[in-house]
Amino acid sequence: MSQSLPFKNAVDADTYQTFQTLLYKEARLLDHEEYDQWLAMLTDDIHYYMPVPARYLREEKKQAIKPLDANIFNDYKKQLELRIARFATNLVWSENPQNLINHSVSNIEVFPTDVEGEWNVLSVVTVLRSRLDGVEKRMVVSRNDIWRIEDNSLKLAKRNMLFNHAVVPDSNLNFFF
Amino acid sequence: MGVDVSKLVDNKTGRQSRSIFHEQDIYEQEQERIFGKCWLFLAHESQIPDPGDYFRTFMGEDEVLVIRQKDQSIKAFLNTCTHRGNRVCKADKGNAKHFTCSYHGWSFAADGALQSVPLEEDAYYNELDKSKFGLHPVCNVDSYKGLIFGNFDPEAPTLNDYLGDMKWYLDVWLDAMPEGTELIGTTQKVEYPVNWKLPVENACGDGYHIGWAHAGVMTVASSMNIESLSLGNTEVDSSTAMAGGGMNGHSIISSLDGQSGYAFYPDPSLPVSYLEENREAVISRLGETRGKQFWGSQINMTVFPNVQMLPGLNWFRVYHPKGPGKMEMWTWAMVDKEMSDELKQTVLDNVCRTFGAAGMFDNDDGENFAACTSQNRGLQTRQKDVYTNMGLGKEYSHPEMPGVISDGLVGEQNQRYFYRRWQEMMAAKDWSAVPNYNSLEEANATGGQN
Repeated sequence: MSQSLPFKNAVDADTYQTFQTLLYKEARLLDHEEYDQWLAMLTDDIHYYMPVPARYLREEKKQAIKPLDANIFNDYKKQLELRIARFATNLVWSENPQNLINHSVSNIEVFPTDVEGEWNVLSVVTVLRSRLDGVEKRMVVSRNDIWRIEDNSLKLAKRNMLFNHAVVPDSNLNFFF
Repeated sequence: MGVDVSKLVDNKTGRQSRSIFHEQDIYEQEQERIFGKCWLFLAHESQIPDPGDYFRTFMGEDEVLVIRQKDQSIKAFLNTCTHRGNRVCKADKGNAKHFTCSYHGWSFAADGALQSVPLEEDAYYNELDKSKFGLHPVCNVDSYKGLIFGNFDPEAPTLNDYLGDMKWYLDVWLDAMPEGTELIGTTQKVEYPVNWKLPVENACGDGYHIGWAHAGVMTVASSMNIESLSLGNTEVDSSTAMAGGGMNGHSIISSLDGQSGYAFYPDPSLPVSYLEENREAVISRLGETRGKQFWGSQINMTVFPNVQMLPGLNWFRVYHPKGPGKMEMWTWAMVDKEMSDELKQTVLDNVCRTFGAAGMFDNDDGENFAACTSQNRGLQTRQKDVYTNMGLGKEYSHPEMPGVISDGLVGEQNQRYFYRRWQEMMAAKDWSAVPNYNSLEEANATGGQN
């Protein structure tokens, strides 16, 4: 029996589930350091951006992120490829042995955009990173994505991230969110 | 009296006891005798340009507020309410007319004066002498070419004397261009399980680790060959690179080619053309040696105890101690004000990509420093010493360059002088007992503590 609910999804169930599955797949690729496959999920004009957060008073007028604000990532495809090339050298000693990592994706919302074949996808990724001995690091990042149909597949064109930590809690971020 | 540090560091052999990276009582003495006596970086003037602008930072473990005054002077205060000790400001930076404590509502003006107290009449019967309860000031605040420093010790030398001969090198960045420098971007803060001295000794003189610790990123990200790194010390050529230390704890390592500061830009053409467009003007301001050989080179500069700046890579950094085994690293991009917005953005992005929280160079260092700290928890391990004994006895004086000079970026002279200064400050109850030296002859004459 179906009852009409007083809330309407912005996209149909199929579309929603497609993006949910896609984000899970992306998380799995990042967990397993399948970076070539991950790169293939990105458009050529990908912008991968995570500004550095700061604590301002709510009434402070200067709090808006300005063009010359520091970032943790402000990468286009070339820079992402450079980071991945660094990992691929096998000369990054802090990643050997591998730091086991788990990306958990939640809070997924999917919205159509004004552009045909593009969707705005919101999500939260919680990263649990198992470091040397008993050390574990947990980081939570909100993501605001644009996904686009290209070459008959869905590709990530833009990812704006909010890093929800005033102080970065790990001595390196040798991974992606 | 304090901890006897005379056996903990030996400058003649380059030996350090590992206890200096571990013991709580040594750490407490550092708070008193280093962070309580040295000039500490507070902020760049560009971060608080207007009256009421403030910046919240640390001097050692003491939290301070740096505030631009109505007359454009700068004051700094302990960030603690004089009533019950709560913070009076929780924001990183901003602009305020007053700072109101969130506990009972005491409110302080930008000059630190206690302005208003709730229920002053009804509960204090108007008997509270507000003039005695202003914010506790940092007694000395002074600037050197844009960099604001504070000092808790009224007996300390002036900032100008404290920086001493290091100013000759600092000016390569701070005074190369007429408008000077500015710090841009939000503060990049990373917490490390690391003793604060380890990153300082690393960037003050350790060109040795670059080829190995950063092998991965060096393979993919170098756009220029830094000859002075590949040479090592086997073919000593003083025209290639230098280390300058022994300036009361301050130090520099520098290539002398005038461009290699931008070697880790995937495309260095924009900054390099900026260098060459301004080269002649800089030479006329700073002279041939600094204008041609230093300006634009790969340079690491350290102001004792915890400030480091790398022109070229353009990062500016301060390390805040948070206990013997923990520190917070704060990084900004420092740029010349005259640079175009496009170049500033290029520099900022490169700082973040190389030495930011996800910086491809920085992400090689943290784990090394962390283990250099954590291994000393072991009682047996802790009783073994560690060494910075590369190039012992190869120091000399240079007719033009101040300080104790060695050849090459790969060396440990500056680390030895950093730990010598650490030892001198830790042994001295007051500034009258701290030796003053800016050259090899003066350094030898004052002997050290060995």
